[in-house]
Amino acid sequence: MNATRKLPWLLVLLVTLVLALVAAGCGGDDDDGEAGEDTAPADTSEAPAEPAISVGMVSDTGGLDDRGFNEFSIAGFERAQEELGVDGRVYVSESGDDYLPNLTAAVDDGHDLVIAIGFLIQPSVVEVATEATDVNFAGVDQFYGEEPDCGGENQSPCTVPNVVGLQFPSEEAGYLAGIVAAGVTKTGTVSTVGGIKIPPVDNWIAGFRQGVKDTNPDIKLLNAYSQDFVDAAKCKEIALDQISQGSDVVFQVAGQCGLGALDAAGEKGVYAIGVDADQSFAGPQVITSALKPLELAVFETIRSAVDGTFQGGTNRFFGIEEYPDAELLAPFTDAVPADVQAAVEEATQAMINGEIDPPATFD
Amino acid sequence: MSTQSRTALLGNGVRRLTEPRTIAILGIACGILAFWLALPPWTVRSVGGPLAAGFVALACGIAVVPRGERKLGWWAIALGVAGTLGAIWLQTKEAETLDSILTAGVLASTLRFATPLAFAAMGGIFSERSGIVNIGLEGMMLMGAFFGVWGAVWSGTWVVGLLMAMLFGGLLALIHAFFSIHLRADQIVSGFAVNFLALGVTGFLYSSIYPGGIETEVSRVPNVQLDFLYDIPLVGDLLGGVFGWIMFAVVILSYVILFKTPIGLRIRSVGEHPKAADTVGISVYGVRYGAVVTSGVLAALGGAFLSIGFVGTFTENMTSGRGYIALAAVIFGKWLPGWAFAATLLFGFGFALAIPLQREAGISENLISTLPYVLTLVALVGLIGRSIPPAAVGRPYVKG
Repeated sequence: MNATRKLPWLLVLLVTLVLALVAAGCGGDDDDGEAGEDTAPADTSEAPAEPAISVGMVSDTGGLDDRGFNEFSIAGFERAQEELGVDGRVYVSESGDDYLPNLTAAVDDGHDLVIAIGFLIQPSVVEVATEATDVNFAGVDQFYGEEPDCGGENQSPCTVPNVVGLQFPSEEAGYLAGIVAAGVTKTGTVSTVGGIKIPPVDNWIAGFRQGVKDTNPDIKLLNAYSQDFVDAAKCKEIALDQISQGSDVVFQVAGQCGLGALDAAGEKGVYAIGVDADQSFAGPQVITSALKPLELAVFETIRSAVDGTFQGGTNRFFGIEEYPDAELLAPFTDAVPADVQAAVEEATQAMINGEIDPPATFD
Repeated sequence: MSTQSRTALLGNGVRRLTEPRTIAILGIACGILAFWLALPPWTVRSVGGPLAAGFVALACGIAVVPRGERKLGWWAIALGVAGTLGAIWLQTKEAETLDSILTAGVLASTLRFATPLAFAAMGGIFSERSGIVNIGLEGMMLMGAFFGVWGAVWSGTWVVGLLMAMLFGGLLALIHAFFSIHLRADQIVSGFAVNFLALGVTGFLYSSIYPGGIETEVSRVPNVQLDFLYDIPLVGDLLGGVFGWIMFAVVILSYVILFKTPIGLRIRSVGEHPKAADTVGISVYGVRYGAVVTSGVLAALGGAFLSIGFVGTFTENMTSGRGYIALAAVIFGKWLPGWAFAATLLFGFGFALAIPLQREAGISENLISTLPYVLTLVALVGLIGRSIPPAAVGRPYVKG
């Protein structure tokens, strides 16, 4: 038959397609990977005295240039490459299905420390780390509980001896953002657009709500989730809905999806507050952004691995009490009046002194 | 009774349950229920119940009308809409919060959710009518979303953005066409391959062209302001922007081309019986290439709506499954442009409704966000009446 004779030629084309896919899909990181692998053996074989280690970064979904989570975690890695002389590579997760293969690949490639970014990758980290006991792991935005409040039905898995959870009390920055929102609202309604309802998202929102309430208990609070971190159109619709309900300050806690919420605020002429990183690029409607010291956390973790103080089986907190110099809010625009800025300053001091302790959850 | 006859009876019962007629009656019942819920003895004072019932009524109606139950189906649709609106009207007489759920905003939002779906669904119809399954719609939308932004940023005008989106969406479709027509590859596999290719290409280009994200202001497709129309409540919200106009035009044109022109006749004949078409001198390959590339161009327009039409930026994988939902709409609407459009409106309504419902009714956001997807599943499984695809869909044609 005609069809069977064509089979080899078809196969060749299929292989070509697969290669094209691989090249297109992972082209960017393959180069990094080869570079990393080229230098890694040289390190281990002939320079045992050198303090540098090899680090594998496994990203979360949403791309490396998400101007948020991935980008700033990886910035910490890049800083460590420059200042501490470590090497390694980044493994990109396009979707949740990539978590496990990426972590396994990072272990197989022989990195000393594997840093996994994001809350959603945590179950995969536990799975891989339990097997690969000679590799150290760190999980950005992950919390590991103690018996009996962990594992099984509980929200957080139990500690693993070679894993450290990097925790951010985001409610602190959220609290300050809440003070700003309460200070600039004219309608008396402010709102939050959350991504997926998970603790790292709710921490921000809980702090924000408390900050608003402590400033002015009469302000109405709206909150909704997009159940998504990439679909900017969905977050924009949610923000538009909230604005139609009178909200004139929109705080986005939805990563890439939330860029849509910032856009909605710009379109309707109300204020917005960014998250994770300075998002003022979205337009003048973004009066400030609530920050998470991702770069600092990743850098400090790598440093601990380099100087031998890395400790697994626990969590490290990067809050205002541990790092009082960490910036929690991005620079304000002129829309934030001086008295509001003063109130933020005051609250920051109160948190450092332990007088204010914003809640991490809300009803 | 023997077990055999019992299972036969059971099978019969199930079959009767899924007959269009039963579904239509169920829809009518739901439409009445939607209204009744607002009255004693229930006097429901939350809008969730009537809306859900009305929604089911609408879904049943849209599902059965193209499947033969015209009269009853239309009744279900009409009662669904009237019942829900009536219930809401009754309730607003007392509770003000209900005002805030079914607003003009929801209708406008429905249309915005439906717009990208409608473009991709029309594309899907062209491709499938010619006999080529196009699972690659998702990837073609994503190409449109990215290259729309790229063109708009590079040239400074959205017109170039749209052209670039169409060009690259068409190119991706051409790859799919080449594999499934010339090389006779499995069309599902080729479609998925094309999706992953688009995900990789757009993700890679996005991070290499805009390493810090898109810093410049993106030129967007404008909202044409026809003041006299925009002053009318509801209508003004619904007719937002050039994209809305293009969408309506595309839906109507798709119908006209497919069913009122010789070109459409050729497309359909190639999808039904390529051999016969070939015999009378129609180029099967030519028609199929044309149809698949058209589908890519249309899907890319849908993607461009998301990026340069609505949010003004690109995010990786920003289409997040809309191509698949569009494909479900094609099947739901039985490969007919008008009904597929109705299906996209229904899905859009599901998305749009979830937002105020989450705000007011206090239903779990997890549960609400499944609404459109449950519909997709129902459509894809084909539980509601059978969808009969074009006879030659998915089968490569070997020139005799």
